[in-house]
Amino acid sequence: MNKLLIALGVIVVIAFMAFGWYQSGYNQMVGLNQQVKSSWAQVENQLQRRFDLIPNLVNTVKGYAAHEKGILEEVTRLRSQWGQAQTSESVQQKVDAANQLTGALSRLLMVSENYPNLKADTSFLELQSQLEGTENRIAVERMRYNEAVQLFNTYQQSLFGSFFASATHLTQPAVYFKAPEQAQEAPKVNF
Amino acid sequence: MKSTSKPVSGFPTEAFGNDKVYRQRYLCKSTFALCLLLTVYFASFSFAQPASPSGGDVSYPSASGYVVDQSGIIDSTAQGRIEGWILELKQKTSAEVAVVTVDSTGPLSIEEYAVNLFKRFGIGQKGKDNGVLLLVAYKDRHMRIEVGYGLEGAITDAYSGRIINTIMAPEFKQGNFSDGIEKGAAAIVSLIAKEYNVTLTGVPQTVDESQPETTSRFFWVLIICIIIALSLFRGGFFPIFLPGGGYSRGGFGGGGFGGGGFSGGFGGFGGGMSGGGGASGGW
Repeated sequence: MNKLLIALGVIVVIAFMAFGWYQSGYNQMVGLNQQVKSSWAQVENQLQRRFDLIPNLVNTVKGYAAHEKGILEEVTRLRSQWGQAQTSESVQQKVDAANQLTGALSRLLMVSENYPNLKADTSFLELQSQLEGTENRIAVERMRYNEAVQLFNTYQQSLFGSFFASATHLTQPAVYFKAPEQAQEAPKVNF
Repeated sequence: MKSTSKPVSGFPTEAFGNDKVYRQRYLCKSTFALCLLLTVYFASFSFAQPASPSGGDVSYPSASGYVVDQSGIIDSTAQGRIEGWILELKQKTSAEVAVVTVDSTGPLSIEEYAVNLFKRFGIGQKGKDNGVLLLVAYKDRHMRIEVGYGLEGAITDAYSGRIINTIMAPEFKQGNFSDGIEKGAAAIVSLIAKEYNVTLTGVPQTVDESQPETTSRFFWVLIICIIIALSLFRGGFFPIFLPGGGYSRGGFGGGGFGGGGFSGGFGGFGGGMSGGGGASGGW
């Protein structure tokens, strides 16, 4: 009779352990996914901040460098492209739109270097410094997002994690926010 | 172990019979199997570890106090004063300020280094993120004010830039690093105090409560305003307000401004984070 109880006890203990293991892995998967989502939300906050700064920037530059229509229009176009990408489900699409806008903005700032009056304008300087602050914040949130993605993807592909990935239906790896390649082309200036 | 003729239920007596030796070996194997199973069980709980941020070549100072002067450019009396302000600010508002000097942030940019250092120290209360880091990279000739999420409204990027460019950089260009850092710290502390609607008396509550505080409060607010005004328009600063002059003992006596009694005031940082807010500059 004692042996039966012991055997029963062992089974109960094993059942609890199995349940604990399952719950822990499941929660881990869900938790890591949440972390990815909340880090992404932080990235988007900063990208939105940049989105809001751009119209002023474009107008200020236009005041001094009206014939740089090309780059100004490109920035405006890519800005609204980013805005539209916000409605899509694809993170990759949002990342690409953000990177394209980053490239265009840096070209715009490079072009602005050729206009001393623009560079001396106080609202331009203010906008430039706000933009720098925003780009720095974007860089920080992007780094944290990528760390969250790494944790998630690594666990998802790990030995036991892959089991929980299918259990939680989180089988899609998260998308990294790769920094844009530096646009090295020199701005064309027509004399 | 009493020898019984009745076999253990489930025990493979058919294979081993009642032989004690075989039973013991079976138990050993079972225990071993159980241990193995437990090891695998606990190993399966292993969670992914985040990769350490950036390369291994970067060295960060340890959080030994509110002021970590690794480059050795801050006078000890100035350091005492700064620590006093920071301690009082923390007691009154829970906000934390750290002043750190290092020789170089390389190979990282000062922005990356500041964010990492901020997080390592955990400046500001966890959740509130009400911390500020004033970082000077002495050999690199760069500095940065990194502001925690919670104080980005009080210390905007513009204010940070202004503190760096109009208060600190001019002092640094003349080689007055200790003064520059002290003024920068004073400005930061004042901005935070204003945000929280507190006034700083210069005397932390744990020290010398027998001293009258009413006169000192007025003097302190006046002094802070004068200091900031002077630093913006002139070069003179603390030499004018050295203790020993005709001021009330409450604000400038041994227990207050002079820096006495502040050791032991540092109890560690609150675990806050920053998000890249603030401004950088150089000289």
